[in-house]
Amino acid sequence: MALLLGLVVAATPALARPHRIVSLNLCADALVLRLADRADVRSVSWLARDPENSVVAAEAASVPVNHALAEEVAALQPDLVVVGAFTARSTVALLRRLGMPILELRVPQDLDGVRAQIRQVAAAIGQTERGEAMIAAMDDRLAAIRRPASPPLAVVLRPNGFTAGRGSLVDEILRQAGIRNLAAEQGLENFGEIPLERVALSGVRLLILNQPENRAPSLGEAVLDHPILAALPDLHMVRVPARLWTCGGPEVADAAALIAAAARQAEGEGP
Amino acid sequence: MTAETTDRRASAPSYPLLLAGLAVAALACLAGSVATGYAPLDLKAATGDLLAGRQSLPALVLLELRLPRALLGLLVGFSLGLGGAAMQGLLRNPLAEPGVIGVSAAAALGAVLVFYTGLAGSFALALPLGGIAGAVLATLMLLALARRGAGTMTVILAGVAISSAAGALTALALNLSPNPYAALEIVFWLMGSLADRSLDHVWLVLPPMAVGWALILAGARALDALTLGEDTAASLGFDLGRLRLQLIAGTALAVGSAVAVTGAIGFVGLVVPHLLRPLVGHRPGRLLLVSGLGGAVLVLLADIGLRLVRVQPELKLGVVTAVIGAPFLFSLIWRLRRSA
Amino acid sequence: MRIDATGLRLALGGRPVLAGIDLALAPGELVGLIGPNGAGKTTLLRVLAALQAPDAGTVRYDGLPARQLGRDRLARGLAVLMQGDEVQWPLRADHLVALGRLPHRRVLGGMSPADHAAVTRALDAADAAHLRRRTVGTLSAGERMRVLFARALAVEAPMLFADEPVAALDPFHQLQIMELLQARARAGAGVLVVLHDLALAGRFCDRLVLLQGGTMLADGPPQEVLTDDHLRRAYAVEVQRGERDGIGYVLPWSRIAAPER
Repeated sequence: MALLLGLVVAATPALARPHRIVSLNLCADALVLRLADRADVRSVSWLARDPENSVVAAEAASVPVNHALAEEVAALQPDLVVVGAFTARSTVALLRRLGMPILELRVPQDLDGVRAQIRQVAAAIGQTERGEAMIAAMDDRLAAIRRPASPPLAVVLRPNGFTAGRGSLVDEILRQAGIRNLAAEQGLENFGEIPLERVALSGVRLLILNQPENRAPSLGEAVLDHPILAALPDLHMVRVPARLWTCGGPEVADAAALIAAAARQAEGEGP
Repeated sequence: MTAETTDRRASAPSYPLLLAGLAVAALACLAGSVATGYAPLDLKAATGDLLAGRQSLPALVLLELRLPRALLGLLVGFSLGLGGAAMQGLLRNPLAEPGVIGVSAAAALGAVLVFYTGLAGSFALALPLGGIAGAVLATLMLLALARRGAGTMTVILAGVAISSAAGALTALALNLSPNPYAALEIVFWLMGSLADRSLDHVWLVLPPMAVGWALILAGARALDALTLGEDTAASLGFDLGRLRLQLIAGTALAVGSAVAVTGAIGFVGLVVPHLLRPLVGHRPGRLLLVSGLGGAVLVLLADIGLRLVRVQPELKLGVVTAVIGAPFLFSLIWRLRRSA
Repeated sequence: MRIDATGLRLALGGRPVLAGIDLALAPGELVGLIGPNGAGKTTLLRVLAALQAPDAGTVRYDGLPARQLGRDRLARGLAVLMQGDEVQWPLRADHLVALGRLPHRRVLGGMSPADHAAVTRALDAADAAHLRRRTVGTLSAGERMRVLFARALAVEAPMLFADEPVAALDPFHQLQIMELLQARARAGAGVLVVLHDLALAGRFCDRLVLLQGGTMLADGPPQEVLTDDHLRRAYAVEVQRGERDGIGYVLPWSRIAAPER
């Protein structure tokens, strides 16, 4: 199993724990808020307070928020800035030039990557024990999953017909849930489109969708309402809250558990 | 001296034969479109199941995915070809067509406003109505900008203005939508696509389209008379004000509802009438039905073609018609420039 | 069909173009509508053809106003040949002439054998039968005019209006068209033709109507209308008179220095 490590670019002050942590990215927020002492966290991203998309909405309520602007961050005089792969490059570059310690998190590609990232963040903020505890909790959760006796065929459907294929974190979550991933079996690598025709003809038993994210409509999401999906026989549907697996944090175990329960229901095994 | 050559040219195929040929071609393309897809489908088994009422997976795919796409290709292509011929007849200009004169872009704007505000979700018919409203507005603006006797330049410029304005407002509307996917969907609206449409879409647009077709086809004789100018046409007993209204309403209904479910597919109404006009002796009345059938053939062929070319992400239908149509437009303008 | 117009007034863009015109047209006579530029000739023709509504006054067709007569009956009763020879699409000549049958054709009907016969008759009468399979764009000006004339003839209407049908033609074709119009009138149709050429007007027309500044200066046989006095007042020209084969003609000769307009 390949381990994907995020890059630790700047030198953290040796041995001393950072006390003014600023997080610019939703996924980083989740790890920081759960691993660090509240007093050590100066600011998290504004998205952290959105209960739809954030797993730490309650914790973020009492923490100041930022919009990932360089001046905001500089004014806080942080001793650790945690950013994501999609944080604006220019902002990150600027902060580096200002001499701030940056920890850049990538999106984990598998469960080992999730564990490695937890360890990485825990080490950077000086809370290695809490990190191990978080990993242990996730592993316990995963071990406790009751998988269906015979793995049903399932497919993840995202707006515009996108799905997750072999080699993606979603794919591993599906395996943990004890189901067969249609996209992987059809040879799709990572993320790509799957035509509705192939979904319909494949005989999938379980359709995995995100919970509706937006109340305003879009064409991409309308595809998920295509009449053929409702017409397919023996098709069960499960909606996973996006916040459980967008970030590749320990909560992916909850996503796997949710899917496994739905899979057992699809196979008529009862929850 | 030229009597010889014109005699040969003057023997165009008979009209009923031409119509029959095009109808057969359109049906063949319809069948071809049903037979083309993303996964191998046993058509014989699927059709058998469908007719017998068995809800097998192939039958479902045939009914819910393949058939709507093919039917929409037929209906939309027919509407675009017919609309193009109608506009060219009314404006007496071979460069007029719903795309060039901005009607398609305005229809897309109308549909976008209705779809992304959620109106279409609560009232399904609102979607084609939005497209129709946009189309009507654009045609009225065009008539105001390029009134009787306006030359090609004026018509084209008016169309460019309307298209640009509509396109910009569409982008703005999509940008302002709270849904993050919306901003990326402008490609669908401005380039058009038949992918992932359902039978619901077919039933939704069939009534307004049918009414639109009837209105346009009823103007065939008047369009013939218009060949000789507005005064002569009036003296032959045609009410020009009513004709204009009829053709605008018809084109708006047919093209507006088409754009509402498939986005703005361009150039069909330009290329098809131009290619088929010599086959009907350049008579605008006969060109209407012929263009409609030709438009259906073109759109279906383009849609079959883009599914056979395995590109990821899939080519948009409007891209294919633009690749055919834009050089065509260039050559038309070039020839008009030389004769002007 | 008789056409009776009374009290026609029309102003365009604030300017009075027709200032009280009374006119009666009957079948069997070739009436020439003459007058200087801007006298209102084309406007009067259009009003009489119900292509334009007057501000005041009435036009009656066999005693009925246009609205009561209905578009279809009016179209069958009155054929109009407008100025210019613009044909938008390159039609074949016989298809173009067939457009003249539109007022007679049923809504969903094609061309009946009677329609085809009428087209042939019209082409023959206009001396354009040999052009029938030619594309209009390939014809010379004279040929095109004859085909358009055939189109108007194909309507087989009792009334025929023509607005300057000979303006752009060479002398041969000018005479030919005037002869065709005269033959039409002899055959029983009522013909109204707007002309600039006084020589042609005087020679071929049974009756002349002289307009100036929107009013009618004279209405009667050519010898009564084409008097020196009328021509000086209307055109500000002196004419040379002549006669041949018992028919008088006038030639505009010199301009009058101080026009009495």
